[in-house]
Amino acid sequence: MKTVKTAIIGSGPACTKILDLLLGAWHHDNKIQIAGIADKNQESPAIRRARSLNIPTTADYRELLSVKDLNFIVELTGDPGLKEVILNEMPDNVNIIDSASAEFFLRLLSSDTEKKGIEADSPGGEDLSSETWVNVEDKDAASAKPDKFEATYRERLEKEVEERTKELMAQKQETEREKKTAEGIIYGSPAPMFVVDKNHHIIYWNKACENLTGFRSQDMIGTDRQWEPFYAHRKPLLADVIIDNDPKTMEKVITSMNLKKSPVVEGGYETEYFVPNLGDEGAHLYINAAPIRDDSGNIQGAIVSYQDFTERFKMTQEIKRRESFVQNLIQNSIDGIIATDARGKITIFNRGAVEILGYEPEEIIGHVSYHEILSEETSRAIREAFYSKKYGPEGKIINMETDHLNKANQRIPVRLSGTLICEAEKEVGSVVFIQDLREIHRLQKEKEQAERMAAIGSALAGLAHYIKNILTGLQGGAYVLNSAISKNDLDLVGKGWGMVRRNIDQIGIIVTDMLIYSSERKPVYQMVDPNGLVMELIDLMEERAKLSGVRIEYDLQPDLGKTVMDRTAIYRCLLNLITNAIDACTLEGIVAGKGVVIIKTERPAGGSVRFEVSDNGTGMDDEVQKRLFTDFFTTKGYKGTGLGLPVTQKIIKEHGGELSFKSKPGHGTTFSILLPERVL
Amino acid sequence: MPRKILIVDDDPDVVLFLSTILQDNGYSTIDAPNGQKGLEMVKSEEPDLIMLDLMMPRKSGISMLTDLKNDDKLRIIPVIMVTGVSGETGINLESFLERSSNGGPGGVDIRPDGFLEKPLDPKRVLKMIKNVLKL
Repeated sequence: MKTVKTAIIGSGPACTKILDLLLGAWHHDNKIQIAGIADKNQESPAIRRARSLNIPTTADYRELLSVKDLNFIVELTGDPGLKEVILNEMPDNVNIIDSASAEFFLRLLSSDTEKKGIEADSPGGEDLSSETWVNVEDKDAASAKPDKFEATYRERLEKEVEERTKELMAQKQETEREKKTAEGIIYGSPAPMFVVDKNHHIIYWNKACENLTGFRSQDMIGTDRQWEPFYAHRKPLLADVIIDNDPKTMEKVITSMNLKKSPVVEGGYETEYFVPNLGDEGAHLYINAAPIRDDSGNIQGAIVSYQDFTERFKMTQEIKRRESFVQNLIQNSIDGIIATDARGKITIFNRGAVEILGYEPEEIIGHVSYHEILSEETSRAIREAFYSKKYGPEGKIINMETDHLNKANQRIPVRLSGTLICEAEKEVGSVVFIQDLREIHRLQKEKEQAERMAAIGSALAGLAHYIKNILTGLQGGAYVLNSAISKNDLDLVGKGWGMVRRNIDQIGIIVTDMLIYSSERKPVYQMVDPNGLVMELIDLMEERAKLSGVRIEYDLQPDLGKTVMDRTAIYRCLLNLITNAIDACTLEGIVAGKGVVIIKTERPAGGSVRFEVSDNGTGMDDEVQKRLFTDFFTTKGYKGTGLGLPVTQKIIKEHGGELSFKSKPGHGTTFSILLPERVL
Repeated sequence: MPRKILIVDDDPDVVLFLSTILQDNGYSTIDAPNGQKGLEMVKSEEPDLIMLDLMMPRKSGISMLTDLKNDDKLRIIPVIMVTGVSGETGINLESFLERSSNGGPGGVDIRPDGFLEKPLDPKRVLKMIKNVLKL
């Protein structure tokens, strides 16, 4: 086998180890020749040793690059910059073994040597000394003495050796497997991890760590660039501090990084740390770093694992943000918001509630239960409302008008909405929203007042107008009477007096209408035959209708029977509707004799009786329909009080009935009165 | 021969009042309760003046006025329009006047010779009649 010429750059402990191995019993065949060792430190143990062994040494590594027939350069400084330089400067046919590879081989070889050592030292293993083994391998020497005993012994020995060899191989494989497994575990772990050796060089940099940092393991292993993904400038990481094991520095880092002792690994630390350089917006990492110790407890390296909780951190931030938004919402709501826990104790009492009720949150929250600040009556009403469907579905209250006592024990009218908060069908609290109704009530009163004033105003105007018409009639009557008396014309006196009397009657009508319309009155109920009532009205109106050229027809359900109503009031209503119907038929456009008013009665579903008064007269346009029930609105000039339909509507309402109509301009109108079932 | 005045109004009180005033002041009166009857009486009685109510059943004052002014023979009879209290009838009197001066329905000038607003004051009624009859 050809001798391999090797140059070593760097004379640290690794170099010493290589010298040990090369010069040890196993390699005395000199298959590896050391062409020289370079190191700036010319007094390191390895350099001194080399000198004693006549191996050339130098302070300038370049001298070694030009050695003739050089096969390998072993770079042991671990300086990636230097490795680059060597790679650039060395001849093409030279191979480089960098510090990481060297470290790997050294570990492999030293575990081999250690095992060898154990075997050699084991008691009862004297026969199997390393020397013997060497001899066994030397087959020529063994076969030189063919003695029988010796042959048996030899056989036994060979077998023994074979078994031992197998065992050793198995152990070696086992170690290899374990190592591979450990590597596999680290590499495949979903947690970002890296391992540095005691020289601060990275020996593992797993896939997850690649993903986290964006730095590939092949670029990182063997270097001390572990800081690069995290900081802009070189800075020792927690792992480095652990390896250096300097109590003072450790103390400082514990404070600055807010480290906590790892509960799992002796000498390990953990912390949450924000790394601004990682990712687009920095990363929130949970860092766990622990020393790796050898059997004698010396720190051989450090393992670091990360947990990236940036997403969780963001989520937590988002939840906090929303929480504060909700808090803001609650606090700044004009509504009073009061929330309670499962025992009814107040947990939220917002500014709106303070405004309305006058308590300070400090004296309320956590101390008082909601029902304690309510009057007994309100407390009961609210409980009832929550556990019934009175104001919305059970468990909810929607727009309940009630009152709350304020701090000064005054009743404040409020509109209350609320909900019971349930979790897994168990009541865990409640929240109510209260609106101060004082202002709303005040505005409502003002509005009602204004409306009443407007109504009075329009009523007065209508009344004045109507009275003016009557006055005109009276004045006319007076004039006629005056004239008749002066002429001694008795006939004219009669006519003038008729005129006066008609106008006095008009006053009677409007006064009655006004009284009905303006006062709260209860119908005076009695049993009435609706058909009889209608017939009475037809008798009264038929003559007048005939004079106007209008025909009255009727269609009465025969078996209607008696029903409960205020006879006088309903009589008035029907009279109003029939009069209107006749008038509608006498307006322009209706040919005399074609006008028909039809009066119907029937027993409807859900009522006791329905009266219907239809005409084929002018009908009403939208404008008229809209103003139909407005006080003093009339289309009949001086002949209408404008009170007929409002009075009719009021009477029907007092009966709890319905007044409705259908109308089409040019085709006629139908009014309908529906009276409800009622027991006397 | 006293001047003959036709009163067309559906309200018997107005008819009575007006006829008393007019008869007391030397006019003779006839009356009709609506435009339709009124038109018939104009033809049969040939009155010197017509006092015409605006709002009437069957045939309104405007309708009758339009018919009168479209009739070559009847057009010359002066007409005093008697209207309800303004705003009460729902008819915009101003626009009615405007339309009348520009020629009413059919392009004929249907402007009445005078307007009287209710309530009627006897003195104003008599003055207006004297004016219209150019007495």
